[in-house]
Amino acid sequence: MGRKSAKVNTTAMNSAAMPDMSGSSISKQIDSYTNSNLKNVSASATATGSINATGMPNNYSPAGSISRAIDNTTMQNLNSASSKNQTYTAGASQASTLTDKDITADCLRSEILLLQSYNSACIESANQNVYSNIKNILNEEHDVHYEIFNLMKQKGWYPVSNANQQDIDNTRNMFQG
Amino acid sequence: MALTQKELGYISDELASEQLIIKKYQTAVNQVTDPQLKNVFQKNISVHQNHYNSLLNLLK
Repeated sequence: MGRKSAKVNTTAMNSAAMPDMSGSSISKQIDSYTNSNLKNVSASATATGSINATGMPNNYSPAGSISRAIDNTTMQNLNSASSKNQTYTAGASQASTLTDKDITADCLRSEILLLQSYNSACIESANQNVYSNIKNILNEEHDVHYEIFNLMKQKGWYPVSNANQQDIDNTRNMFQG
Repeated sequence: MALTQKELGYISDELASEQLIIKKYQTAVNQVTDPQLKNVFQKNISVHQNHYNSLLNLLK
């Protein structure tokens, strides 16, 4: 589950734009994405405590107990989804190849990390010129990210589940009046 | 106004990231089989190349 591991690693990854992605470690990095995409559901779950599996491409995490409840059902959906199409085998002797899905997921992840660091850069800009340039780049990066995300969603590589109508109603009632 | 230390740090990091992601897409374009993905990746190479150039311009 890319979303969950993204949440776990956010702090570490924010400190550098693209950590551990140079040279020989690229494949290792990709492996770990794929692993967490397909396998480490339970590992990520224990690592986070509060799991964001709302299906948002970014680290979107609505606070509160309702979102926790939604997360649990979504997690079950995703659990079964991932066990069904588990094509990745991490055998030591087997040559594991990256599928189109793996490669696209890796690109999506890189875009997300880049977006996050551009966002920080934008916030910390002191010069008008730097600020507007970075903001333009940030804007275009969002479009790039969104396009990849949509492609993955179309192909069924990024399952998103709709919010429960009862939970939506509950949330509205909580903030209304 | 002169570039601040922080801005320079970010710009330098972003330049490195853009360079890396361009290489990633160049590799990805040749590895994927789906033409739709190929097109998007090819387009993203130039998008990131533009971003790289804008960042570089900030250092002039």
